[in-house]
Amino acid sequence: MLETLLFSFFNGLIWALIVSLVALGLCIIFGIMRVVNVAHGELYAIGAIISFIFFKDFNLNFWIAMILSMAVVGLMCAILEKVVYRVYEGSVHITLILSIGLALILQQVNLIIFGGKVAVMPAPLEGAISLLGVAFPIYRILAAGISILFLFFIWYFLFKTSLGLSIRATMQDREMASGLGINIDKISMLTFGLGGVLAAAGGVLAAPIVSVHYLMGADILTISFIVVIVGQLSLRGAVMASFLFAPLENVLALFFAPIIARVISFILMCVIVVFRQTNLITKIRGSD
Amino acid sequence: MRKKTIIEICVMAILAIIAPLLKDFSGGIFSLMNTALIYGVYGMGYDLLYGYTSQTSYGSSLFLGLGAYGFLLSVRNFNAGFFPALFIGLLIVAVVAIAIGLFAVRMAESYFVITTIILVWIGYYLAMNMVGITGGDDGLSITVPPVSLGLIDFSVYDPLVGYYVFWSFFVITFFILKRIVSSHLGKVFIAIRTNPNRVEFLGYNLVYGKFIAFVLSSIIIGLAGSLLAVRFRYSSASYFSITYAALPIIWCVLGGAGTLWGAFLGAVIFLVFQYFVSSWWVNYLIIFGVLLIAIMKFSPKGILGIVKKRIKGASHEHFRNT
Repeated sequence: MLETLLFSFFNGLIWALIVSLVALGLCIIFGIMRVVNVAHGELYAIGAIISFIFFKDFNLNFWIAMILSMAVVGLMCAILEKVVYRVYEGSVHITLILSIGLALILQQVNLIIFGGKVAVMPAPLEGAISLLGVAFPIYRILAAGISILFLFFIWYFLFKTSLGLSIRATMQDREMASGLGINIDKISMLTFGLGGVLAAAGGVLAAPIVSVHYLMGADILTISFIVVIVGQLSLRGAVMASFLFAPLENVLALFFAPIIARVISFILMCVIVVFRQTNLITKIRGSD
Repeated sequence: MRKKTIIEICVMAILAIIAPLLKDFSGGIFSLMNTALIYGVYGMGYDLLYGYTSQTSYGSSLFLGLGAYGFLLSVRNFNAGFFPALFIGLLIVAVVAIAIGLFAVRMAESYFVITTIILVWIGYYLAMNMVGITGGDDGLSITVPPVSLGLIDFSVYDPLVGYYVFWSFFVITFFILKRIVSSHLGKVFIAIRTNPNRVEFLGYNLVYGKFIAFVLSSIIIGLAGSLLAVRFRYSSASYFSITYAALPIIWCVLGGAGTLWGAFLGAVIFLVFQYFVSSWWVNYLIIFGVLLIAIMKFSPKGILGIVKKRIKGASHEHFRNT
């Protein structure tokens, strides 16, 4: 029993890392562009699907397929930002509709290129190692390592480079940043591209763990949104919240059906929102 | 204003008169009109929330599903009549809407959207998982009880009677909503859309206005759900799905938000389009995605917005209703 518990807990930690990749993308995109990107789950799915196609049909190495898929999704997102969102950034009401339209398109595109099948991506590394007496698949530990690498890279990029400084400045005050000579359009494009790259990376890393399906983004989108709300749209908050919710859900899923675990985390989210309500409402009213 | 009411009554009358003529017309059209009326109720209910108070909810299918299952299960399990079953369905929807509304409408716009998206996914997976109650993806079917109005009973299994049942619900919903929208409360709704901060300065309770709009719109959406269950004598977990949540947004944007008619117009266009295009292209939703983006870019007020602009632009009256 203890072993199963530990196993799900470790699984939850790895899942938390992948969720925080996706949630970070959502947060940065919202922070810069004021876009609630409903299409983010589709970007995650498209990342997994493209890497699967590169892996299966072009017989490429898993890691090369991963990098290619991240590049493709990132470029696609940069273009989409210019074509779809550019003029309306800042208005939640309009961009939400745009992102719903985008989600519909991308979902159907996923269906066209992948079909309705459910496929399993073989892990690039087989075998297991013993962690605290629990046999744990080696790929998942590797995936965790790569996710941590990505998180570190994002942290370094945002907090230690001058471009990151411009991004954070734009998040704080769009007009002021623009007045100081920061090219907002370029920053938005970069941000949306970065969000897409992160979502695709999450999708590829998750592909050998969960199965690849054109609707696979729905599950992670829900938990990412929960995490984003609890983290109050701050980057650090999102990562911390995903480390609270993902292991919790994974452990709870041992005792209940997965959906009940999700309901419990939703209720937990509501409780947290209600208790930290004043902060949440004033903060967002100010910025909306 | 009076001219507008006359046109509206004329359209309603035309909808009622052409039904017997179209009934014998080749297959699909009549059945399409039935669905269009129900979708019209759904769209108008959503429009109250989206078009009038500018709260973009992505969670309306939760109430649609609850309305459908509330009706269906009370007929199946308690052998309830038509109106009692409808009442139970709407009661369930109202209770859930109040519970959700109490915390959801307090949130700022972006949080509200996110919360409704989470809710709709949770509702969908719950419905899919509780196969014992909902029948899951296969759904459950019922024998719809006759609509009893005092002494006379109507069976909805007669297609024409069924049509008139949906038509009367459509008309009643439309005029109730029109009454609400033109009342004092409706003015507050429009004020919330136009400038939420000023609503508070003027001494109105912003959260209260949003909450009332949310609950009212949920109840009407629940009614549409019950009518769907009546129409197809069946209900499945797919009513809870995100696709059904996206539909009213498409209709409102397409037809023109904040006009009530716009949602119905959008639903009709959508249904006709779906009817003709889905037969030769399965992925027709792509077109709607493109359409949503294009309309938002070129004419955010939809088709009726363009029409209104033409008329109002000529008579210089556009300050009154904007």
